[in-house]
Amino acid sequence: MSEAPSTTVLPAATAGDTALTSTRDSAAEIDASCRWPLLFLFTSGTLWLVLGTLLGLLAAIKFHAPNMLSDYPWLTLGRVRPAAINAVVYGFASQAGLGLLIWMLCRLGGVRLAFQWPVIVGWKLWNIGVTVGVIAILAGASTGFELLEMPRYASGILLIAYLLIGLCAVATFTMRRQRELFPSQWYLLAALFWFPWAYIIGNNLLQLDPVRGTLQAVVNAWYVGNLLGLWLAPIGLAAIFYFLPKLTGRPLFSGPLASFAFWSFMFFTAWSGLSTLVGAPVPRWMPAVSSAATLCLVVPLLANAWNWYFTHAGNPSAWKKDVVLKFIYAAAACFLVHGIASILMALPRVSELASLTWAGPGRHLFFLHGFVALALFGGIYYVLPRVLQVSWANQKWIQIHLLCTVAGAALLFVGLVLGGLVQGARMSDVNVSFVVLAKKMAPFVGLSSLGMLVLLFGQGLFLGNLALMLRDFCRSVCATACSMVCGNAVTTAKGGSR
Amino acid sequence: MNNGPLLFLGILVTLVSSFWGLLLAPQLQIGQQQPVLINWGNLPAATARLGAARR
Repeated sequence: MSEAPSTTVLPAATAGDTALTSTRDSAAEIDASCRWPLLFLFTSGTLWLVLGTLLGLLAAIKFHAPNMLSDYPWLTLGRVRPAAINAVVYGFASQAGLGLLIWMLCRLGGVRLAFQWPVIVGWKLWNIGVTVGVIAILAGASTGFELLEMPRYASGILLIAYLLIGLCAVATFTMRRQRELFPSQWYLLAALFWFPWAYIIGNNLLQLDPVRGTLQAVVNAWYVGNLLGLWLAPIGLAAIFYFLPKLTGRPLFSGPLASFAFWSFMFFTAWSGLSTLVGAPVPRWMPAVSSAATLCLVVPLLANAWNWYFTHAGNPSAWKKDVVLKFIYAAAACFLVHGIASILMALPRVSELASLTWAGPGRHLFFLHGFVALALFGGIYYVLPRVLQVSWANQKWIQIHLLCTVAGAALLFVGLVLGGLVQGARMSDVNVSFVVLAKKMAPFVGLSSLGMLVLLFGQGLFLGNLALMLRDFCRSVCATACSMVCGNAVTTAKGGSR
Repeated sequence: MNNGPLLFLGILVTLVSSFWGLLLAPQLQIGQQQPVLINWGNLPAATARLGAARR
């Protein structure tokens, strides 16, 4: 039995690709149309990820060594931590997510990217916006609202950049040749509309025309829930629904089940944002409604798990040969674990225990570095060789990167989410002083620091592999250009000699 | 589920329901409240910050 070719190695054109050219643009044409925008989005996204994880590691270490770099106001915990999370959310996850979103919309719609230049201009503006925002946070100009820490001038740049890219994505979607819609497209379309909506509402109600008093906490909680649950999560889910059937070579187990899971996920997630406000000075119905919605998320969670499991069961050994599929399976597992943790933490008793502990931030970090990052890495490892027509330079590094990401995410989960629950239990004991509590939490915080270090190591390998791939790509582009120039010179010389 | 406009409409309804339920309703309930001066003894609550915090 011959082994299936790795999806991270440059594939040969398949018969299926050419057979579809009469009705759809060919896969090669689609990939060529996405080449430069995706190259820019993925490369700068990776750089932001490494920077964000580095700052996150620095923030984590400060819990062991509070005096480290404490003489520099730029590097104090209150600035480093939001800068780290903003770099990962807006610099990496949103940017690489937009790249993957564009590529999946093109491939699923069987059409080339509608407009390249607006996407590239949007990419530039987006990076300017993130750079300005992160520098402003480090300089002390943070707004203080979670995940909206960037000042309004940076948010404005981000919004314009998103509109440029998002409108191109919508135009590509409307011009699709394949009229049938797949589950991935449902999630992508929802994400495309949800981000600008949540971002405009969040910025308007917290920065431009701020609401009063405690309502600011309500708007902020709603925004955080929407940004993570209805912008980043749908992109990760779209990647799972795209790559799982494709790489197992099996059709999705059930379309209607996917449809049911999609609508229930969208509806309940949209209502679940305020569950973190248990114990906050707001009317009790607000966190209660969101907690109920979070508990209802068990329905789409089980539906998706069922659908994925039986799709996988059609070809249970496919993942052993395919590293991209391993990333996708790991992302799916992290999504399920995060979902179960969110549901458990929405229970009133657990919620009271976990509030004001490490459990909340730990859940967000696990979501970002586990589920979202793994799905995006899988997508990038699959897409870039096809788009650039160059294979990944080092296959072994990809395996190590996968191991590091899974191990790092697991350490973050154990250290912060489980550690947060222990912290909450000890905090409720009046006999335990704050200093004793802080000392007893040191091993858990140490685990999270170790997790960040492991993540950083894996991301360093990813960045190195990407750099080698870009070197090979530049060489191939130069070789092509040289052959064209030499060919023209020979033709001219022959013409002259005649 | 192959109807693009219907999909968009469904997403819009979800979006609007979340906005009305979790942002507009709280705004109507507690967003218009005015600050009230409470006198605890001779001191108004909450007291102004002192010393370095005030600066």
